[in-house]
Amino acid sequence: MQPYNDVALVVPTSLPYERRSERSAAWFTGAVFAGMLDRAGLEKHDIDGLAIASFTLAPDSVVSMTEYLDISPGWLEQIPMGGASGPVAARRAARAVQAGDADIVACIGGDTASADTFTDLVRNFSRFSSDAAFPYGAGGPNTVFAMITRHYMEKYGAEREDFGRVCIAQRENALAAGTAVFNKPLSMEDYLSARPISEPLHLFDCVMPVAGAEGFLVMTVARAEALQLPYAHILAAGERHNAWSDDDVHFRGGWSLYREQMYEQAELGPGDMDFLQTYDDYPVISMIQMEDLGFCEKGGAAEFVRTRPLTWNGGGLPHNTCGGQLSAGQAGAAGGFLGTVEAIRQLTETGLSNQVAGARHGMASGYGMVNYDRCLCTSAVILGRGGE
Amino acid sequence: MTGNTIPPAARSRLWQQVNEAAAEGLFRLQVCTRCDKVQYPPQEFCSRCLCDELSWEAVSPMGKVLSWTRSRASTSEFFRDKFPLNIGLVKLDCGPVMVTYLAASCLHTGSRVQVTGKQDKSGQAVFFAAPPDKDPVADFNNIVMEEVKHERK
Repeated sequence: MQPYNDVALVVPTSLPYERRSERSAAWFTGAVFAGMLDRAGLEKHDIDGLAIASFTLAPDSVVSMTEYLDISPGWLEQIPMGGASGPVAARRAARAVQAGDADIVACIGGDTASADTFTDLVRNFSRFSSDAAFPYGAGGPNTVFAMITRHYMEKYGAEREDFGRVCIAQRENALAAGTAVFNKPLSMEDYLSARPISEPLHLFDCVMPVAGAEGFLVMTVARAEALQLPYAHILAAGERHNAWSDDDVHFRGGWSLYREQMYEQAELGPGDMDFLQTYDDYPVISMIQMEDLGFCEKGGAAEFVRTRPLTWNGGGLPHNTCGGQLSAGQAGAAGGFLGTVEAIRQLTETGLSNQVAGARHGMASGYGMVNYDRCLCTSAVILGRGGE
Repeated sequence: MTGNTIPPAARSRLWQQVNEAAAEGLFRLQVCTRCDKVQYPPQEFCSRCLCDELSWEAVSPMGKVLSWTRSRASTSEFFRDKFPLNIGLVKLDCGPVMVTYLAASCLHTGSRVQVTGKQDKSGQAVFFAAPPDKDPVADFNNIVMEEVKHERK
């Protein structure tokens, strides 16, 4: 796979999340777009590529957004991959910039949340789901991921406390970041005594649907330097969909099929990652990513999280340093951008209240689209601090 | 919308075949006429050999529990007085993995179960897994459609 030389990721931008909003996904998308232009010192017509991931933009699409924003791009992409969309957007936009198909691509994940949006979304999520999964209690993804979690616990000996360690560390990170919807400390006792949602999942294992948006711009390094913008490089990237489809229950994802290629391309290993941002719709999924991305052996994530601090300043593996969706909430497809945006932020900004000291390289991974009994999409990027 | 007073009712057109089998008291799934793959959920061609000639055939309803959950939260009002709701992931001996309602006596990984299709109160068929030769819906009388009683002569 060819390298992603000379491509810069800049102005990682997050809109504050809201528990409920009367505004539409188009507003959230437009607001983050305007915020990125402002921070980059660009005019909207400088943007000639637009990649969007959203569940609630429908019946509109990235096409409609060109009219709302009154821009005329020569490159458009809509990424229907939910939680995998951030790394995928970065990867595709980078290739477009490298090939000269676009000069500056705005990558945005954004969704709104009203009283009905989540219910409408899960009811019509996919045909397999409507036929053969959703009718059983209409619990949405909680039902499926409860069964994936129990299977993982029985297969590998993970305990609820292990999932709790992931959630509690992320809450500490959220408190340091100061931007999350959930801003109260979480103790192990709080975690273990929370009400059951779909056993073995309890309240703090589940993400809260919220409204919000995340975005970044992709351009050449030369352009970023001309604009005097700090940037991150893509050192490697990968995606794989519907991997391991013969597994009766989901316990590994497509990451395991391309991680070696990524580390080889980046000339780095998992031990060189100064942080890891995983897609955390449920803590078991973060632990599966730690394994499949090579941070520990398969089945070893429970032991890993028992011995390795996951907080931003704990000296272990800083993980989901802004608190992840488990603390920030899940803003639809923006949840697929959250880790990528936080990774770029850690590598381009200084003086963050949750800054990982001396971070030079990090990884963000994505996971999305529960078509029937598991999510099908996986993605990951290894990023490096620009100018190094 | 009446969606909250009955279980979710939206299904694909193919699901009618599942409904018809359930109404007849039979366990029929899609079988590929070329490679014999038993397929679930239904789709319009075989995912293994891509043949689009599939038949609906009686197959073994026997299987084992791969995993399970006790659900206590729902997006639908219908379920809110029916918690906890036992739901399982069942591996059929003939191949497919099904999400099913699960009898309370089968909340163990590896439990042997028989799967039965019956209409729920939306009028659409859903599947119930229970010990073989036990009433498959004994724990779910508040979910299944009441049967019209016919006098037998």
